[in-house]
Amino acid sequence: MVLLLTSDNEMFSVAEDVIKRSAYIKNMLEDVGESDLPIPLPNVESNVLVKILEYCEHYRGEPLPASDVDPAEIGDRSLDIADWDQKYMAVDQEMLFEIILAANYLDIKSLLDVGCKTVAKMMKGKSSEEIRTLFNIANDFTPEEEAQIRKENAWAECR
Amino acid sequence: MASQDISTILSTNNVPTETQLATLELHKSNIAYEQSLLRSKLQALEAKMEQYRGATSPIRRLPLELIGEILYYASPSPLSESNLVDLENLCLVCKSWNQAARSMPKLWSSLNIAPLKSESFELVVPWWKRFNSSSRSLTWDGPDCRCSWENQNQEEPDEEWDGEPCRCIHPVLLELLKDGPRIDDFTLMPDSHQCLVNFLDAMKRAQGTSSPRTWDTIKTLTFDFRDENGPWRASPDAPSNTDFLHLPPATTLRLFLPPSESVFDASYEAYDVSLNIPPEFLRGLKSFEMRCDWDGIHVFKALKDCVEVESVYINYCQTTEFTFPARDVAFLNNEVVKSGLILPKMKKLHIRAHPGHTVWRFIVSPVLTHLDLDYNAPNHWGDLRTEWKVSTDLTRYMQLANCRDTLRVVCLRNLTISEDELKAILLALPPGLTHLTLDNINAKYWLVFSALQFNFAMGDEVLLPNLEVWELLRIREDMWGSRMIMWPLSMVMEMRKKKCEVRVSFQTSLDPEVPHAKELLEEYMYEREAEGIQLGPGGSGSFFTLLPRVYQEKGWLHLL
Repeated sequence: MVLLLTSDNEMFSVAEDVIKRSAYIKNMLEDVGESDLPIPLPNVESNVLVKILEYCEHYRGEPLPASDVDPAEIGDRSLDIADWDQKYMAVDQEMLFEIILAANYLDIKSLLDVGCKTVAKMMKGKSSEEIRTLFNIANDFTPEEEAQIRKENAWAECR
Repeated sequence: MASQDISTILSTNNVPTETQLATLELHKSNIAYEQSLLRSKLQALEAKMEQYRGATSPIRRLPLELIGEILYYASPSPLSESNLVDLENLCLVCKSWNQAARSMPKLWSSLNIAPLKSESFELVVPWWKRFNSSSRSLTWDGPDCRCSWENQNQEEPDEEWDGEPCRCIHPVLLELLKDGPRIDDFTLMPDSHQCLVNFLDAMKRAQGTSSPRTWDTIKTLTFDFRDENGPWRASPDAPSNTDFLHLPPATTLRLFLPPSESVFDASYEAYDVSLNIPPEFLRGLKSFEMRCDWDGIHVFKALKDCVEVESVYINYCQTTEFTFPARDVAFLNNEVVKSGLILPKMKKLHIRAHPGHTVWRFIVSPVLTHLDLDYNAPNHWGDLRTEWKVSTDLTRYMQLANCRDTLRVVCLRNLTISEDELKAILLALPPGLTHLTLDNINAKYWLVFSALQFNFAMGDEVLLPNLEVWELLRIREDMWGSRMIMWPLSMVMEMRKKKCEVRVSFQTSLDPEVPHAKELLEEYMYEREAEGIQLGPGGSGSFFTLLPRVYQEKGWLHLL
């Protein structure tokens, strides 16, 4: 078992084959070897770790993806998300971004991809104003800056 | 006194007097004013709250590279004049998103241009140069080009032809390939053979301001002819007149020739066409892909010089048999059959829809690791048995090619065979194989696995002892048989010592006109999932994955 200590000081005892889906933890275990000391996760709160462990538990036993294969690198832009992953990602926005941040920190590539695809799907077909409203993003462009960006892509717009 | 009167009125059903009515109206307008003040204040507070929510939103904590990854999935690819606005929308969300998009070259690296007229595209070149992409891909699509060989050479051109120059020698394309940014992957989609001739001739003459030109550094070159094509002009054999002279020293060539019936009046006309791709160009290829259903030996001739090639993909487009003129038979006998077609570095060979007597029987490939044969046989659902002798062909090929010891991955697709033939295939495969895919093979699997199980129980050697992944995809769910596959399959797997992942998917077919077709499919899926769960891990540590998926094809609903 592996001990994990979250940023809000909660301790989790997790089976090694479950948490090894995290390349960060896997590498740490390989570097440090067996230890009774907990691994501190200062960037992950307990409620987020619970969610992350749910993902790792679900995919327990399945082969780990090759670390050198990045779907983005091989041009895979498909927004297909497995049924279970879709249900797993049906959380509020705050949790969704926390999962993405934690997946990035813990280096769980497959979960990070699912998170990014989920957000991308939410944005599909929306205007920039609708995306700002969706994610509470302020428009910090001046009208001149906006015009400049449009001008740069003028080869397509003028047709 | 007045306020007492008002409260009496408010708490009873008495009719107010004239004076009371005036007082009530005054109070009403005071209250309405207070309401509007409070509404404004509430709106201001809500706006402030939104700002605070935005400020504390975790999306702000996403580093630029993660925003870039999200934008990568959200943005179109390849970019074109019609969809660039979608990426622009993402850039216009806020400054940090714009920065994230700009710092992610792969968002801007793939471009598809289909010029309908000459104007407006001159802005493309400086625009594309701005993004420092390390690897760019350009597709130039020349649809409905009116330049046919006849139009440009006959005395009375087609009446509808407006004299517009060929779209494959568009000034912007030539500019991009002379002095544009570095392009690794270039695809030209000519509308006719004449367009290709025009393009290559223009590139021969085009001089850039610097050397080498963008064209000269292309790594992957694709010529993808449309299905509806103009006539293919038979070029003389003299090297100076060949079409493919002056190609850049690419390492990958993808040549998708137009269907024979669209470019020749009679299929034998293809005999006289010589592609004449320069041998020195073919000798530099690492990867070669060709789609060709033309009569003759065009594939053989091209492959003959691909001595450095590591990956070959040939698509014969459902051609069942080729005919050869006498001179080509002599070429085959003298240069191919006797010594074989030697490809000493080829590791991957993928052949789709190959006819009975074809290229893969003659290739010598002593370091081959991947063999993918897609028979593309007609998709019959009946109890059809074909005459394919795959096991004999495989055995002969592995012997001739001298690759039995190096072969690790074999895929067989789209084939109808007897159970005896399937069993013979499995027994013919080399023991070093680690991955086996049988995709859409119409055979009675359960009979094969039952027989193998019996053989092993009687002391035969374990089937494919080094297998790590076994995919049995699109097993047909017909009247009987395939539902019974899982039990003997799991028994066969349990007899093995080495762990193996088995991926299984079924397919069934329902006429969408059948009442409740969707419900039937859902019920079927549920049953398959239940079967998958029941199987669990095998005794040898092998585990089974059931891959459920529904797709629709040609008006029929299929279930995977």
